[in-house]
Amino acid sequence: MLWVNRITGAGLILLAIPFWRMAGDYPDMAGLFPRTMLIVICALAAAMIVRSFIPALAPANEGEGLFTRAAFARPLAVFAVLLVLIAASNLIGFFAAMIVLSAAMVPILGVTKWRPYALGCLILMVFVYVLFVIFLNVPLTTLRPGS
Amino acid sequence: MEVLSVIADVLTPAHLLAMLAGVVGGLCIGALPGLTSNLGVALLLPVTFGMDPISALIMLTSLYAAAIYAGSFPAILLHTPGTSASAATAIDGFALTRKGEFNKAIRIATFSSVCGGVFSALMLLVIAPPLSLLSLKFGPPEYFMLAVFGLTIIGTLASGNMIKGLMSGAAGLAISTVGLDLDSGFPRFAFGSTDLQGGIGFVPAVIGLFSLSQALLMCEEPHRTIQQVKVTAGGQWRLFPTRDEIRQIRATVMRSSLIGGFIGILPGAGGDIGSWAAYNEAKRFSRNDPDFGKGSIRGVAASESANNATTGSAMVPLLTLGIPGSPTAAILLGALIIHGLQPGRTLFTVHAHFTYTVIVGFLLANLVMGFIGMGLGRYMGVVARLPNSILIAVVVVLSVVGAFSLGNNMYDVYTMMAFGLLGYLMRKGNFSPAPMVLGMILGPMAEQGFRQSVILADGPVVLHLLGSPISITLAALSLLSIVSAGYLEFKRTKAARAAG
Repeated sequence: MLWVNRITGAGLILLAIPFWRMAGDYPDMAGLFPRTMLIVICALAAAMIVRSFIPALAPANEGEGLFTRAAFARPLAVFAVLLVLIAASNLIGFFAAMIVLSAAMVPILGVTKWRPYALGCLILMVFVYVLFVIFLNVPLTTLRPGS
Repeated sequence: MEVLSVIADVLTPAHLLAMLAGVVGGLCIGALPGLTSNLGVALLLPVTFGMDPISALIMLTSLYAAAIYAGSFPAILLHTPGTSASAATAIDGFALTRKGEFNKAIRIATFSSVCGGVFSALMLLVIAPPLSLLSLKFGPPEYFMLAVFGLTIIGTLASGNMIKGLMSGAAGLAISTVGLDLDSGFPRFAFGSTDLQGGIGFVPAVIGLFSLSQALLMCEEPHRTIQQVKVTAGGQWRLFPTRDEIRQIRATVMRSSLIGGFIGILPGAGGDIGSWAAYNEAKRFSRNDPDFGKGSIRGVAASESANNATTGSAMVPLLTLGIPGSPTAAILLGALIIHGLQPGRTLFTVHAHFTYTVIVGFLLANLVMGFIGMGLGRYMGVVARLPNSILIAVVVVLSVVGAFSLGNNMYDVYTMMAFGLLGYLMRKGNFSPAPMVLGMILGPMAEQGFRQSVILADGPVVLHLLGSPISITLAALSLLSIVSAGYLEFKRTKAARAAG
């Protein structure tokens, strides 16, 4: 994890530079607070990097979940599919997009017992339709082909 | 007369229905390990937009209390705390389950949670109004120092890594500056986008940071089901504890409710710290109990009464000073602002009816939670057998719908997704999302206070910021929290290294 801390710290400092320059062009006091926060972030990032090099202070194993390459693959694949389907929801409609998403997650998550999964998804869609579309008047159905 | 009007208002069908929905939702969320009260309140927040503010806040606070209580179900049943606040419950609760006394443990957990919750609601009713007077003494420097104090407390406690917690809070403050500057009208960090000129929405960010990130984490182990062991038979089901059981736990419940109530007031110190502190105290007072730690109802009672006692008291600094006592309370602060209410003295004067109705509703919700919880407790085993894959689909779809329903536009959905991915990566790297959320909420207040202090300062800004006893106290407390958290972290790291 120590290399993650170092890369994150260095990345944050590098990221802060263009924002710092941008904030310098703001009129009056508009750039004062953002610049102050960028200094604080850089100082903390530097402290995180320094800490990772001092054995007595370096944090032990941390972070949630698993840390194998395979463990990252599934969440990122689900996120990518979700992103594509959200972008496509204006073309195919919201509910169609969510049904495709549910179906796409079957191979990604390796769902073997597809019947309870399908039933759960069906109940979910009905619940969303009844609560959000009928009761709360959220125009989810306007996200459909031709709208 | 005003008291009767408040009670009558709580008992209207709309408010009772909102309370019931919040309690049932909270019980379901809390009972599922990995799904926290933060996630539940964040998911339900968009649903409350069309509601009147009283119904909305009753629903959200009911969900908060019920979720903390329901965390005891999987802790007792499966040795898997539903929320971090129920971790201490798992020790004696699961031991009772192994002894075949599952129903007894649930009964004690329910009774203790209700007692702790009611105590915290009464505390809120009694302590909050006088404390709100203090908010009248706050000027720009005090508000700035208050924001710094809130962030240092939650930043140092949230992830167990002080630097990362503070960094997350500072990033939240920086994100809050995106959009039009309120004084000059100049667009900041908008990159020519009209959507970004309106700022980054707090609610989509919360849904992403808490809900979508949780779904992505669950994707790592989609085949896991919540229940991994066979449920033991347990004793006979009863709605109320027996007289003998009450006699055994009454002192523990009272003491733990006090501890939880006190700890809950401290910003950043939530149910998990409260329950462990109470559990340790109960252990000290139960030297003669050979079962303590091996299936004692005192252990369950201590943890459960304390964690529910933190729920109401966490709202004391929230309602009076605008500083949330827990991450969930931070989301509740957002809910208050969304419904057009500002924390502080006005909540107890101009909006007194609203505030007292919500508090009385919260008190009643704790009782309702107990009855429904005992009823549902018998069937919790079914829910615990749901596979992760179904939960992932539920959370992902509800996150998208919740974000879209905020303003019926796709910008909020993309914001939610961006923060969902950011939240996932943050949690993998042990950056807690809670300080970031708090930073986004407190950002405008902190910036306003900072800028006004810079303008008003007659000399060095630091001296102006520390120009009043309140500011000095808040600065000293911020420093104390950083130093003490740093020291504790150093000791913990050293101990972990020594243990190999």
